[in-house]
This record gives sequence, C-alpha cells and structure tokens, in this order.
Amino acid sequence: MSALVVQDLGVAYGSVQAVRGIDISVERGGLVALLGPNGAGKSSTLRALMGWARGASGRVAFDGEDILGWPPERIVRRGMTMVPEGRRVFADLTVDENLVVATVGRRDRATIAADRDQVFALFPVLYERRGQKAGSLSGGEQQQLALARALLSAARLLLLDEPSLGLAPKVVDTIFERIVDLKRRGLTLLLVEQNVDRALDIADHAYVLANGAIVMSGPAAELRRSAGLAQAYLGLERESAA
Amino acid sequence: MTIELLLQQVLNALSLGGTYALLALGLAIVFSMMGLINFAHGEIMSGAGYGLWFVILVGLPFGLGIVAAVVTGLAIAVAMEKIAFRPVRSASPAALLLTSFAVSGIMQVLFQNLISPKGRPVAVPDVLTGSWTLGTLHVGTIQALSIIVTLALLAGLTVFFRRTRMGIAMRAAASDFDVARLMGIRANAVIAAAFGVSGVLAGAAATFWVAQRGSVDPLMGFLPVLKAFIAVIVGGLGRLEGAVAGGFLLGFIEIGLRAFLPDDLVAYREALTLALVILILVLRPRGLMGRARESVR
Ligand SMILES: Nc1ncnc2c1ncn2[C@@H]1O[C@H](COP(=O)(O)OP(=O)(O)O)[C@@H](O)[C@H]1O
Ligand SMILES: [Mg+2]
Repeated sequence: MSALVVQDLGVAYGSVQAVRGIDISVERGGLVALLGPNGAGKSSTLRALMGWARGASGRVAFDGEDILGWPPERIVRRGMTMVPEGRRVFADLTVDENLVVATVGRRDRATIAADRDQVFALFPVLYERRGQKAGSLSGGEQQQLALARALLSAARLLLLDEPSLGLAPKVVDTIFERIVDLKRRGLTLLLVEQNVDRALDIADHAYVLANGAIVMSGPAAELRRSAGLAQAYLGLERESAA
Repeated sequence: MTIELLLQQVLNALSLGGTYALLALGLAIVFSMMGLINFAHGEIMSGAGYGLWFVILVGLPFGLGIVAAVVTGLAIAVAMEKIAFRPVRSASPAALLLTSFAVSGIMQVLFQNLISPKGRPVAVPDVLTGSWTLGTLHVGTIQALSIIVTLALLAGLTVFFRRTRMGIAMRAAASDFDVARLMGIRANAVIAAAFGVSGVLAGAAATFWVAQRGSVDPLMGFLPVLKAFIAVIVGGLGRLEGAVAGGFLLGFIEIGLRAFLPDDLVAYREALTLALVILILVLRPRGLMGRARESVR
C-alpha cells in the first residue's frame, strides 16, 4: 500500500509556476528517488509536501489522509518529516540540544531515551560531539545530525533534500550508507538528489523532474540501464544551463 | 568622591539597569521569535502596574499586588499575541510594527478612559519604602529587592533556556523558525510562550517602577520601554545576552551622568545618554554582542 500519494501537485511562486501538476507515489517501506537538474522544482515539491510552500495545489495523501494545507508541525506529528536542503541544523545549539528539539512533538516520552541511544549507535560521531555546538561540526557531521534529528522525531516517512550536497565523496558514501540503514529499519524515503548514479543505486523507483514536470519514471534498475536517462538528463542540464 | 558614594551609585545603576534589562529581554525574546519589535510592550508594563494598583485599592496586601502585576503582565501579553499579532503574523515586518503601534495607542486610550488620564497613587507599605544602613551606605529596600529579584529572574530564565524542553525549543525556534516547525514545535505555542515570558518580565519591572514612584499612569510604560528598546539595539539585536547587557549599561550610563555631571549640565543627561549610545553604535554597528548575520544555511 502507498504511504504517500501525490496527485496533480502544483507549486506557484506568484506568477512563476515551479511545479506543474505532478503525480508521485511512494510505497510503504520504499525508497523513491526524485531526480532532476537544478531549478527543476524538486525542493519546491518537498516543501509543498511538508506544508512549507504557500502556493501549493492538488492532492497529497499521507497514509490515506489528505494533508495538503496542514501546518508542518501537524504533519510531523502525524509521522512525516523532511531533512531540508542545506541541512539547517540549529548552529547555536549543541548536538544534544538539537536532538532534544527533535523530540518535542513526540507523545511517547518513555521511549525517547532508548531511541536516542539507537541514534547514537547509528551515528557514533554525534555521540562523540554531543556537547559541541552544531555550528562547529563539519558538513558531513551536520548532515548526519540532520538525519538523526529526523529519525528521533519518530517519523515513518522521510523526505531528504539533496543530502549529499557539498560533501566530499567519502562523506557522501557514509551518508548513503546511513540512508540504506534507514530503509532497512523500515522507514519510507523520498530522496531528492542531483547525484543520479548513487541515488539510482539505492532507490527502488525513480522520477525525473524537469521544468516542473515529470519527464521520466520507472523502477530504478530500469532507469539506470536505459541510455535514455543519461541523454534526457544531460539534455535537460544543457537546456537549463542555456 | 568616597567609596561609599560610589557603591551607592553602583547600586542605583544596578537597580535601574536591571529594570531596563528585564524590559529589554522581553522585547528581545519576542523579536528573536517573530522579528517584531513590540512597541506595545510599554502598555503591558502599564497594565501590570494597574493590576498592582487595583489589588491595593481593594485593600489586599502588597504581596498579592506583586502577584497581580506579574499575572496581569502575563495575561495582557498572551492576549495581545493571540488577538492582535497572530492574525497578521505572516504579514510584512512593517505591518507587524504598525500593528504594535496601533495596539499601543488603543491600550493607552483604554487606560485613560476606563481608569483615568491622571496618575493613580499606589500606597507602598513602610517596610518597602524604608532603607537599611550599612555603615554610611543607604540601601533602599525596594532597590535591594529589585536587584535581587532581577538577578533571580535572569538566573531562572537561563536555566529555563538551557535545561527545559520548552526553553530549548524556543531557542531553536529563534534560530530557525521554519526548521523548528519541522521538528514538531508548534508555532503558536512557542510564540505564545515568548510573549508570556516577556509579559512576566514586564510585570516584574512594573512592580519595581511603581513601588519606587508610588503611582501608575497611562503613559507610564513609554519611557522605560523606549530605554529598553535602546538597550536592545546597543546590546545587539537578536542576542538575548546583549539585551540584558545593554539594559545594565544604560542604567550605568544614566546614573553615572546623573551623579557626576556638573549641576548645570544635568538637564542634558538624556541627550548625553543618547549621544553615548550613538557613539557605541558608531564603534560597533551591530551592538555590543551583535555578530555578523547567521552564517548557517
Ligand atoms: N521562494 C521562491 N520564490 C520564487 N521562486 C522560487 C522560490 N523557490 C524556488 N523558486 C523557483 O522555482 C524553481 C524551482 O526551484 P527549486 O524547487 O528550488 O528547484 P530544485 O530544488 O529542483 O533545484 C526555480 O526556477 C526557482 O528559481
Ligand atoms: Mg533544491
């Protein structure tokens, strides 16, 4: 059954139509990649799903419930959250405090301590740095903190906006390993990436977005094999660069 | 100048500066959360003063009056947020500012018409108007209490912001409001909490102010909150520690000028205070504790 069903989603910034009626569906426990060049509308899509974008239209069902128009905190409390583009950790707060903030919306206080231990087991570097200001962490560590935060909010569905952005290849490896770990733990993931090959390596299914519309979609393995993708993608890159 | 006289002035400065610090901190907390300098903060303070006045008027003890001042400050601040600011929260900063001017004006008119345009006397019990003599040092009871309570409130708030879930959530919301909501923090709850804290602080400040002057009037909050606003700017907009430091600094400047200026210049001390403030801002345009714009993205 689908955890997330997006129908005819549009996002407009004033008269600029950034997303033009797209359909996406994410199976429960699945990992779906949303690919596309810069400016395609990937972040706008995720922001609209989380209640972060104003001019959103269409239908978004999360676990069968129509959530478009809900404030973000209500969506999070229902079990879906986002790791925003650029990580956006609370720089002046310590790692520990960042993790405390992530649990504010939870009702099951009793299980928080155990979850925190699990998160530290998954991200040992955060345990080492738990008393440090988040702003003093490296980019990769901040990305891990952003993932850990989302995990501690007890969400079942995570939207990840370019988690590899600006990270060294080795660090990207770590981040992608953690994303696979999250999938193994039963989380449902919608992953926005520019790093097409890596994203297709771990995704079950993928959509390619260009100029606010879906131009290609299918099982990740198929897209990886199809010569069409690289061409379509490069063509789009060139087009959007022009 | 004797060391006693100097100590005396330090106490005066701590007392006055502490009151500015409480008001400035309230302004800064609300600003950190929604980018609004609440010009109606003075009316929260005046309203709290009327809470104190009313309790004394009906013959209840002064101690209850203090509780009433704090509770009134809290209630007015929370109601103000809910009624006036929540509906326009997503409007432009200019619209928010205009709303706060309107709220301020409306509340002044309400105080004038429902209570009195003139000052209302508040009888302060003898225990509070007295003073202790330590050697040659005279410490007013109200003054001493105001310093102790101010420091206790600042210490309490520090613990609140460092140790409690709500306090940490408020700091998170102050640093990145949108992402804080992604953590499940309710926008309405943290903003209401910010106004609530600012109201409690204004209530405490109102108590000291009224106890030292013995009366409440509709414009009572204007001058101290104007000073608090200056303190926020001097301390560095957006830094809570800066607002507190700015408040105390302003207290020291004011008392220092009052004490040490030659008699024929004392009349100009407000102007001189502002000149010093401008000098500080010329030297440190972001204020004492201000720093370059948030580097996080
Ligand atoms: N806040 C905004 N206001 C106006 N236009 C925006 C805003 N955010 C994004 N856009 C525009 O919408 C389009 C899609 O942007 P975005 O969703 O960020 O793309 P992507 O994440 O795929 O790079 C771009 O043309 C961008 O300029
Ligand atoms: Mg983007």
